[in-house]
Amino acid sequence: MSTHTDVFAERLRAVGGVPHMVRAPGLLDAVAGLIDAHQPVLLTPQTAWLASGLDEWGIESVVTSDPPAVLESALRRCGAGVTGCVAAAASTGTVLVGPEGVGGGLASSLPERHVVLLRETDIHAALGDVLSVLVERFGDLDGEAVLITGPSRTADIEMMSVVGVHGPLSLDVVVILAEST
Amino acid sequence: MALRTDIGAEIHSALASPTLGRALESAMATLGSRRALAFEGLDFQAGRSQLRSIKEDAIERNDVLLARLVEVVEQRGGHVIVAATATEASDYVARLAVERGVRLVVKSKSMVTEEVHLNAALEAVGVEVIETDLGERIIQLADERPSHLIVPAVHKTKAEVIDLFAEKMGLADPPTEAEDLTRLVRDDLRERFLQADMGVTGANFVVADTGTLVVVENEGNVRLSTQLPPIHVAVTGREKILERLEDVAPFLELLPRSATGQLLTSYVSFITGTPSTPPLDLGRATGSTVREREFHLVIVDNGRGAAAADPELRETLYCIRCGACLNACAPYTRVGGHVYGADPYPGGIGCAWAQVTGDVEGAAHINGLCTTCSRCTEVCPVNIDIPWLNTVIRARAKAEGGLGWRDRMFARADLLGAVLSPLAPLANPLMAARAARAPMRLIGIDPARRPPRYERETLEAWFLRRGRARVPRPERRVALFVDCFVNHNLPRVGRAAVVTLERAGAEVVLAHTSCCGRPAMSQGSLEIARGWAANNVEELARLVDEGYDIVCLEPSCLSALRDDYRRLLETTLPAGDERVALVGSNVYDVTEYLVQAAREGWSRLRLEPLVERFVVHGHCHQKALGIGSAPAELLRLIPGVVVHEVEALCCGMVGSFGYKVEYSELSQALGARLFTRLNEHEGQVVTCGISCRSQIEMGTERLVAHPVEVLVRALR
Ligand code: SF4
Ligand code: SF4
Repeated sequence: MSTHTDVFAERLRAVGGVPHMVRAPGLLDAVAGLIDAHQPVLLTPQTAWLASGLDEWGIESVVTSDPPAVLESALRRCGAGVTGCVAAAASTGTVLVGPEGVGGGLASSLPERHVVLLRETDIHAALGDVLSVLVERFGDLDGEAVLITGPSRTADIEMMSVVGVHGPLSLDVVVILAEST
Repeated sequence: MALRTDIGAEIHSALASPTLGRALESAMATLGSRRALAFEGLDFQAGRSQLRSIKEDAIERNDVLLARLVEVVEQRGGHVIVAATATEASDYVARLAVERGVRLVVKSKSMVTEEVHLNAALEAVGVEVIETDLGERIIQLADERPSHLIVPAVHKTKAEVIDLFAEKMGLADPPTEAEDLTRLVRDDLRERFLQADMGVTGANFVVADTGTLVVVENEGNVRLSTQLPPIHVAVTGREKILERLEDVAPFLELLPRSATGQLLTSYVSFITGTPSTPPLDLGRATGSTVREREFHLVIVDNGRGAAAADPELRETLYCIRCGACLNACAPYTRVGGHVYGADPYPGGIGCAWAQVTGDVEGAAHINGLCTTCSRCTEVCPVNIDIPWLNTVIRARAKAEGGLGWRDRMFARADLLGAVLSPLAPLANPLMAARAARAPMRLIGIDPARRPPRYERETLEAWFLRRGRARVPRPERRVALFVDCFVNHNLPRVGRAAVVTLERAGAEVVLAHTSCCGRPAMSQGSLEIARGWAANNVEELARLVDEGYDIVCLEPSCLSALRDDYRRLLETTLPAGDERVALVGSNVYDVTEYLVQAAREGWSRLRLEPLVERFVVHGHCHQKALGIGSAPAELLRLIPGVVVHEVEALCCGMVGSFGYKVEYSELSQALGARLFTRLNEHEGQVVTCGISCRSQIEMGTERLVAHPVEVLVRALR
């Protein structure tokens, strides 16, 4: 693993997220292992390819671009959302999640658990590098792009840090390790 | 909002609250230390000068950027309105809600919507508004207004929140842990997010080139408010516009660090155009007629355009609402944002925001709470000179209402001295008797406060009598700036300084100048101060040209000469006049000067050991000028001494502030923290400020000395 990856994992833990290191062939199992099979999982058009594999694990999935009627009946029950990501910053433990097609933002904001798929090669050293990626690729990121640094949190009552407010209560980042490492 | 008339009474009840002070003090301390930690290893000065120049440029070209933004957002299918007034902004949203059959609005935290009283406008047309930020939700349930820019319910303790939730949610057995209270709100609001017809957010930055809103948050409520409801309305001030997406990046480095001490918040959303989700019907039990997704951008002017063209107020518009200035502000920390705040904007910067947005009365009401200590400016990520903004606003209020007797008196420290010094044998015993001071209350002066003693022989008279000392082969030539207080009240400090400087190898003359103007500035008499400043600059620049270094004894005068004159004279001196800068870079605090002399190796001071202990209190203006440790360093030149520096807390006296009836109680409350620290250590208390000295003497009954008074005792 590269040093960026180590630093990223450490910073992510510091902000309350959980890193998982996998090799490409183990990706599906890793994702399935993070998901409660009793609830449907919310996928985006970009992660929709996971659906058939997850089905083998007995996990039902809904895609954010499914017809409104499907979403309307399933959204409340989704326990986890799975998205990809465009880039990550080791210095802050941040992932940059793009719009990922129709309705993509729902998968990273609504369910209690957010699972992010990150390629190791997309980890940059500093936040500034990720912001440069955001600027360069903004054309593709039209809609909503979001920098996510840990699960939702607050300190509004007597400055006590509490994890899990309106956004996801937990953030898992599955890092797909590069072949050479 | 209740009519506010008596700031003294408001301060009194805030100080009397059993919970407020505790809640604020611990929150501000936590925020302050998290901030300090977050900036470790980062070049704050370089970062903030970058932010400052981006903001200066963006405000300079605000009209052009606004036009571009409107065009881009409309091209992308959004609706834009530029609202000239607060009412125009809130009416637009209320009308939209009615037209679209909106019944329920979920709202994330936004100061601008507080400024335009959006909730009241929506409620007036029968729309239910739910605040979703935890702190804002607490405030909404309690039917209060926010008291901090970042932590709106910071004035409430957990116990108060528990009681509030129990009452408003009808809970017999409410949870007691912050975590469970938070979960309670999550569960309570989840369905509202799903069912709302409209989501209202603010924006931290708006990018003209791309039409992108950038919203910084932690709770995830901004994301849900923009993803779920079919209509998204963003309300923002026109000062939030930046030109390019690249310009946002440096702000993201400094804003979260300044606000909450985080390297980055949980979410930073970049929203461009309307969301791609089709409008879902997740049980909107309402008559909403929306079938298409809509995005409306409400850009609020409400005085901002005029402020951009006003060189004295313009820098208010650089504010990114991070709240760091509040956390550093001692008066704010004692009384909170409901007292030190002009609804909805808290603290010293709140006074400026009130002035900009047309709440001139609100601004005038809280203006006197600023002690001009500059603690806020030190931490501001865009380097806003908040005390100067407050000074300007004070001057404008006084220009409207005229100066009262008390203001006139405090403005003229020079005259008071000139009149009272010759009368010293008469005046001193008289003023020392509290009973004799009772009538002072009539002009707003607290009779419990002991006024300073006047000395019959002023420093100037002494210098004249003694004559100029011959220093053989002088290393330096010093012109001592004679301030009103040392001259009339504490000439012995001046005498000690003259002798010490001479023994160090400097030839000393007294500068023939007027009052520095600080007391006049504090009372809002900028015209008087300007006149003196112009004279002083002329005389001091002449001395500098002749090879003199200017040395000050009172840090408040030093800061006027080094710092405030630039602002004071920027509009009056001809462009290209370098004299202010020349004086500013050749004026020194006496302790700084002597420490530098020793370090540079030219000082001829030979000091006897003193086996004594000293406790040093740093003056706010020394701290602000970055020379906070000079007094202690100077004392440490004396062999044998034990010097303890206490944390530089504002003493609370601040010239005339502590003498004024309405602020006297706050002044003593501010001082109390410092007194406790000082009393933890034995020894001679040492400080440079004259008003710090009298505050500490009154509050601790200990004698206080200026560092040069100590040094002179050690001269060999
Ligand atoms: S100068 Fe001092 S008192 Fe005034 S706003 Fe700033 S921190 Fe507060
Ligand atoms: S004045 Fe400066 S420190 Fe205060 S809120 Fe504005 S940007 Fe932050």
